[in-house]
Amino acid sequence: MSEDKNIDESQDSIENNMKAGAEPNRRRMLMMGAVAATTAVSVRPAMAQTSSSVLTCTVPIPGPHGAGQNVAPDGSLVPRNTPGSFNPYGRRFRGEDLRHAVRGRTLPGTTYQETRAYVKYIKRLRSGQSGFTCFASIQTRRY
Amino acid sequence: MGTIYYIKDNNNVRLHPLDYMTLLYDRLSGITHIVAEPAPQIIETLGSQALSVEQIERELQKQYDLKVFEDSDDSFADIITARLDEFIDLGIIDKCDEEQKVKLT
Amino acid sequence: MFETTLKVGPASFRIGSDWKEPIALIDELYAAYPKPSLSDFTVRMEATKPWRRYIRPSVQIKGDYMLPDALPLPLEQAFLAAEMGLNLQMALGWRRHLILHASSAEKDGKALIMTGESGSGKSTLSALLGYNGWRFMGDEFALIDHDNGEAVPYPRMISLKNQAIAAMEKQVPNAVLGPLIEATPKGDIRHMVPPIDAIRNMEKSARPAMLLFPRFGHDTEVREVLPSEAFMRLTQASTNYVTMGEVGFNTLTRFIDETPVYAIDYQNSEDAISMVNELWSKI
Repeated sequence: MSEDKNIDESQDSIENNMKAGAEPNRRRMLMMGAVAATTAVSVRPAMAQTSSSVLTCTVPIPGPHGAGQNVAPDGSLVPRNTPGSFNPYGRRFRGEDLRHAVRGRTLPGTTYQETRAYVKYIKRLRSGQSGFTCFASIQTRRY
Repeated sequence: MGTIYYIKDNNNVRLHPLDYMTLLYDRLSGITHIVAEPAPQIIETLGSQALSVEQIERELQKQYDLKVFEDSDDSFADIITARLDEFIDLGIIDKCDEEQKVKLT
Repeated sequence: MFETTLKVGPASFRIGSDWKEPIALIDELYAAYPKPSLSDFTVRMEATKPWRRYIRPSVQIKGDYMLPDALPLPLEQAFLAAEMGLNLQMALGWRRHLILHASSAEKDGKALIMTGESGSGKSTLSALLGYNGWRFMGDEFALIDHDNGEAVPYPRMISLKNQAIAAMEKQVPNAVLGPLIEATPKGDIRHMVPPIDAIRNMEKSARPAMLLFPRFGHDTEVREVLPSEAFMRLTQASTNYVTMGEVGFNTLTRFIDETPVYAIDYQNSEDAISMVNELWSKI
């Protein structure tokens, strides 16, 4: 909301600039905004969008670092017999399916609760862990 | 004991206005930021100097007619401080006590 | 290992394969392109395991630059694998120009750059322009020169998907096409050899004169786009803006400063072509 306001107010400031041009002694308006109105957006690297959008990549759950463990509902790795946890059997899920799962659909061959747990697991992956690149590439904002 | 703010590495940033947004290239990190008012104006005011919030406000008042959002009652000083903090978080600006005034060459 | 070399625009590739057929197909489709002696990149199509050369053969794409977690493709899709491998080298490894995930076409010595998400129609539009009075420059990557800001052609095989395949086959009855690759994650894909003037003139760069954000499947509309919005979207459309540091910053700011930007929404490609030509006549 404050973003739209910023634009409106800045449009005013642009107009004021033009008016100020006609009256050289008048200072142009500077919209200070508000304490809470942040002003900076940082450019983040885009992943290799071309390739990742065509290549089928997969994410193993769990990755090698979690071999022999289950996935808890919060996405963390837990011992095999932990109550309420899910055994993913090291299955690999396709990037396409994961993209849908992130938006609420269920992964093939799993229940809704299981999917939620696996999505949380994947979101915790860090660079270097198996599946991170694939997931990061499907998460990249598309314009 | 006044706090003064300065741009790191002797003002090693580039400002490139586009429209209502301005590009800010931070040479130290290689990161490009896209910034809205009053950020570019604060950065320009600082330049190679180390200034307090009061000094920055005075400078801005000289050049511009300052306004805040309609529904805001934040002071100019508080807003300037918030913007400076934002840039400290981005690694572009640093602050110190007046007494430890950094010698900028 | 079977091998061939290929030059597309300024980039040279060495392509190796465990099978003969994909190399033969590349040589056939890229027959009009230069065969360089030196190469910038290597791409290899390898069998995932030794016996996979013969039993349910599947292709793993390897090269100087690779994506981990990439699934191998069946041998019938080897040509697609090769194309993806080439794209990957450019996307991850090319530094000599600013790379934009965009299509481009040239007219009157000036370049039109079109960028947008998958399905925007930028690929198909550039191909159609190539057969409607324009010179096709590329459908996947637009390369912007750091020194002079010009757009450099990268006219690789045109990648047609789903409905665009039939549309182009109709529009260009004597087009040279690659194999139909069905049921990929992106649907059906077929590659088309670019028009011969595009290949012959692939060393001829052109000054960018317009940036377009096309959107297929929406009510017809033309909008101006603010420089700051265009800049932000292009940083996300570039595979190497961030890694190029200040050089990238200079190249992209110059591009945005000097190039008017429009967005067009359209329902069919004829309308899009008209809108493009209309906007072009006004610059």
